[in-house]
Amino acid sequence: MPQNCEECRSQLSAYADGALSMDENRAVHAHLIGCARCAEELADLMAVIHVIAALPPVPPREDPWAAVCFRLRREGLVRSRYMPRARWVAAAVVGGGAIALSWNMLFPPTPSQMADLDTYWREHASFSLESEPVHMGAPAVHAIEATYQLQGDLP
Amino acid sequence: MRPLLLGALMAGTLSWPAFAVSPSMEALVRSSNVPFQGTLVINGQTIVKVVHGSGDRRRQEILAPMRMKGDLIVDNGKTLWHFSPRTQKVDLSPTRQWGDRVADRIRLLTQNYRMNVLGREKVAGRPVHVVELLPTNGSRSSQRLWLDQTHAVPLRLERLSPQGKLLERTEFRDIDFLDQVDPELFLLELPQNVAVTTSVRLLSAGRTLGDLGDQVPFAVKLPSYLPRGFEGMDVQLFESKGVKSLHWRLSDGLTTLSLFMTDKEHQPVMPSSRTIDLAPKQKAHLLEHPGRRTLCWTANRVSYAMVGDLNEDELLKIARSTVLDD
Amino acid sequence: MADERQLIERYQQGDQTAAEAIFRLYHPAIHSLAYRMLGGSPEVEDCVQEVFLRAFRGLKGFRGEASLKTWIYRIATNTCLNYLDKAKRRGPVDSLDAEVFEEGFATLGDTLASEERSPEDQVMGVELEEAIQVALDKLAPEFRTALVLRDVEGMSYEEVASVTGAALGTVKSRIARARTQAVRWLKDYLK
Repeated sequence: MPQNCEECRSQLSAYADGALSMDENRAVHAHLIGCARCAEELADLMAVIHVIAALPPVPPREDPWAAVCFRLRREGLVRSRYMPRARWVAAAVVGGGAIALSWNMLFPPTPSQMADLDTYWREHASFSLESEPVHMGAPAVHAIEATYQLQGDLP
Repeated sequence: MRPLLLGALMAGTLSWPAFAVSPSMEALVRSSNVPFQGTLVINGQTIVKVVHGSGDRRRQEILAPMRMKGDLIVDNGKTLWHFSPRTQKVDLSPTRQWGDRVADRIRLLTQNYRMNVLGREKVAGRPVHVVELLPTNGSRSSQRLWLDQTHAVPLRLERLSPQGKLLERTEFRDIDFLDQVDPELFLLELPQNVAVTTSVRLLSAGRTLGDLGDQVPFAVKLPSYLPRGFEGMDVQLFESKGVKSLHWRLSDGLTTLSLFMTDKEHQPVMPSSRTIDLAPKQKAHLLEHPGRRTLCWTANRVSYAMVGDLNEDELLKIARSTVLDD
Repeated sequence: MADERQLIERYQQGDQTAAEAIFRLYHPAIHSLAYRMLGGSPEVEDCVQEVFLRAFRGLKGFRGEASLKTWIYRIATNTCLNYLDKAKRRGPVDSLDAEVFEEGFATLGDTLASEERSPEDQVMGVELEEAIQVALDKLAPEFRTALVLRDVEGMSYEEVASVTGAALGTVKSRIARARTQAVRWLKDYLK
């Protein structure tokens, strides 16, 4: 049965998340092709979902582990065991890169010596959409978008 | 196929050979040669004026969002130029053609996806066939395409995660198909005092790693495991910001993966990410973005970064297959 | 993850390195979550520390009834909501959909403007990020929580329900309404 705008709009959020049933999907779909306003509403919704999802992670400015650990030890929740070499290894395993990080801090490589994830993402974006049979003129734009978003080359 | 045939006849077109049996995948792939111009809207946010010529020549002018308005991207089949009127910089990079790989693309697509026809609609005022491309290899992203009934050019695309979540929606707001395109449109005339940069320099390319021979400055071990349906398409050696990296490009016809490799000492700095154990004493870092994952790890004195729309388990399997003999 | 089970077991036996491993695994994400939930208020660091202290205390008796991730996020969300509750100040309320709006403002606008952001941090332009955070701050806590967990943290509806303890239908409705408000507030920034 045909949907009206109010019904459609109440379902757009779930539609964008793939959380509707097949029948519900079809109903929304059928309404969208005939209704430019609802289609625009979907476009706005998707844009907002995307920008929110693209919010960067906010790294902590300092490492509070020492403070947390101190409290845990005081409350008797953990015991520290002093193991000179093993501890260094444990720190590396646990820190997942703690050694690399410390090494980097002692002997920081010059920026030109590090590969760049931004570049990799841009290269991937440039290629992947190009290679897919859907060539809607988007490929380079996605890559540029990726570059702007990741490198912050903004006015 | 009968509803399609009737549909085509009713629409007054004689395009049914393009949609006869499995060549519909072929029609889709081959439609990249049809010239057109139009206005593209990506995820409701980015608006682009596009001129598309045969041979994958392309000219794009960005109309929105504000921060990218006026940017021009021109691909003349050999070089890609990106001009930013704001910064007065132009960046050159090698063009990313598939060129003569049409047969491979059709083969992969047909092997790894199933095309279902869902119905007929109109997009940008033009009658279209609505089809979906569903993976035959388990949990992968799929696409819904609204294909122009005359030219099989996609006028709208929805990319969906394996769970059915909408990852991307791109469509033409308006489109005109052309007999030909003025070749001058694919030349970029630059104002004076424009700074030219080459952020990515292509050093060498080939179908396989062997083709690059001793140009690769570090020993490379490729993964021995690839998810079903994926094939290596080509390998590029490029230089960016003083670092040489390999870019191995893999495809299953619709989904593309990139494996970047560089010498361990150049491993990229990782933003905040999740750490996963690959093997004893071997960690990987996983970054999630909408519709794209990045897995980074180091093994065999090589720093790897795998980028693409693939589930975590498969990415880890690929990574582990580089580590086994380490 | 089999890995996590081992870590939890080792922690329950008092192993400090296991505690640190768990901390390192979740700290970046929890810090981001608290930042987005508390609007970058100076209390974020305190809140995050409290999350982990509560988590580690509770982890002693953890039987694996939920995944560690769900469990820690549940503690984080509740702790953030407590902080929001304490920090709430009276302020004007938009009459359009009063339920969805937070009474009172967060201090983020000022915080972001005065913070030193390195170029790497400016991935989307401070203006847009600021606008999004202001929009988040305007949402009532339960709507903000649902939206942040879903769209910022990328959790599924089921995960959000599990973390917040709300019914699935309630989660869907909160997300939809929060997004509708966000569209209204952010429309100008996107065109």
